[in-house]
Amino acid sequence: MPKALDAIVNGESEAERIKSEAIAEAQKIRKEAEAWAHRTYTDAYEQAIAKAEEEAIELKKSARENADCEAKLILKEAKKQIEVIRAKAKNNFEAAVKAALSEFYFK
Amino acid sequence: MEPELQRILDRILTNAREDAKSIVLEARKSAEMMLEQQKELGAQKAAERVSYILTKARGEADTIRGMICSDVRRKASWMVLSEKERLITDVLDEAKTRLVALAKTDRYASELEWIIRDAGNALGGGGLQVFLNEHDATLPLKLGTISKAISEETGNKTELKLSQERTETSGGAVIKTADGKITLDNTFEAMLKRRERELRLKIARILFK
Repeated sequence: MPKALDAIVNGESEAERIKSEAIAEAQKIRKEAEAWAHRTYTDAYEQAIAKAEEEAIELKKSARENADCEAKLILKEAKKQIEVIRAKAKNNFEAAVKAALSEFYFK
Repeated sequence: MEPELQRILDRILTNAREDAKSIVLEARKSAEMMLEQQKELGAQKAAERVSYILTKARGEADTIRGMICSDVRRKASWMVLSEKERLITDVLDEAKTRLVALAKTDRYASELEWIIRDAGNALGGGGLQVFLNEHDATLPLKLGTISKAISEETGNKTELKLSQERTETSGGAVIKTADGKITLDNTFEAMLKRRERELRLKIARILFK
């Protein structure tokens, strides 16, 4: 009987050792997590800022690209307008010269 | 060892191992949760700054777009306007060329007489000097007849005298009172210059209709 009791006491002792090791490991995990907590917080903060900054750069780049496209259209429209003006001027050139001359003594 | 005892010992150790596993697992979960919370806190803390960065960027993007577009609109307007100006100048140049060409025709002498008469009337008659260019000074102008016409029209006895001084102009005349105090420049260049503003408007209305 004492032999069996010894074996149980030893078993309990081994069980305690296993639990103690687990508790120590758990504490280590928590401590490590605590040590990483600030870093995680900072990383998350910095990542969010970096992402926003990238987005900001993209926004400006996209605005510039859109504006450049719009600018090309505006210039294209102006060139078209100039062609129309030139055509009108060609048709009305003689009348305009005569109108200018009519302001003078020579008709 | 008795099998019953062995079973008891196995159970003790199995329970201990399971408890240990649970303890470590729980610690891991708790650590993960804590890190996740910190991550969320970091992101939350950044939200205000992120919002500021993005709002600022949207404003800057609008400014960039506005600047580029307004610059190019200005450039486009300038292109159209300068082309109009160029075309108007072409008409004015052509008008001037035709004026100069007409000054070489037979009918020019009578037209020049009208120019002189008109200027003489504008000056109110009296003693007047007529300044012409080298070519026009050789034309058979009836200054006596013009003087008489001006005298009648102004009621002031008029005498037109051709000055020996010559103008460097394409045509037309400069008329001065005898005392030289009042000058009326009716040369082509001066007339064109005086009327350029209104001529440009008139030409533009016709040219681009």
